[in-house]
Amino acid sequence: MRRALIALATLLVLTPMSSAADNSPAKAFTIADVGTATGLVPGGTVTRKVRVTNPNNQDIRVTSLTTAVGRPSTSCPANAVTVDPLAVPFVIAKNASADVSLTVRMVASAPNACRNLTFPLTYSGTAIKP
Amino acid sequence: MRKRTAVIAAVAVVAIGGGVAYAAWSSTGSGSGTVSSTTSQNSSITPVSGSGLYPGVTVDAVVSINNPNDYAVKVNSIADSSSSVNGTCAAGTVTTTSATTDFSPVIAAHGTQNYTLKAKMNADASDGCKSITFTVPLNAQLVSAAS
Repeated sequence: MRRALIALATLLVLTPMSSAADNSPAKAFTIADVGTATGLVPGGTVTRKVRVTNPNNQDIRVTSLTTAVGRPSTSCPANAVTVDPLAVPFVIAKNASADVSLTVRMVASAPNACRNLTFPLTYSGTAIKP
Repeated sequence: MRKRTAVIAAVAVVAIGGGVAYAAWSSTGSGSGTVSSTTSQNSSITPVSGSGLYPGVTVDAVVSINNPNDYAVKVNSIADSSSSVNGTCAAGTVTTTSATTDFSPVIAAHGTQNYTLKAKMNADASDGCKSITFTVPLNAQLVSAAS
């Protein structure tokens, strides 16, 4: 009986400490360009390499990564350029980075107004504990 | 009996704690970047072959179109055209059309491709149109064939 109470007391002490560490809100990871991505033409694709950085002391599994494309010109249609969402989830080790390649597409019907423009990209993603 | 109860209580505490920890652990990420489109460069059309015109006849006139761009292009059309005044040979004596031209071959990046037009000399062409070379301005519409 006495041994059981000691074990219980130990668990009650250890459990909150462990939970506190695991429950602490995960820090947001960051997504940034690696190099330049140029040469987009109607009907074509280019690769946009981005670096995803995990500032947490735990590994994370990035489950989604989507990109919103801005319009540098009102004459170039909003849907002229799209970026494929992340196809396969991937794990980033704690306090480390991983580079992933996103596919950027320009529709074949893009007009001349879409020539020689720089399109702003806004990345967003979600991650879970692996 | 009291010992067994204590052990069960301990296990329950651990199980609950672990469940909460897993559910709370998720995060989001964000960032910004850019991607750029390229500009386009105009192609040139140059004559390759086309001879033997006489009043009322139609001959093949082959032209070459280049592609100075880093991506493939295809020709959508070459506008019908006609010759200018040439000495005493009247304007419009020779006309060209691409009505039967096969535009399916794409022009590779930095490549060239030949296309065959039809050139016709008017039946009433004057003697001033003998043995001369006609220059016909051509205007083609090209679009990206990148994939």
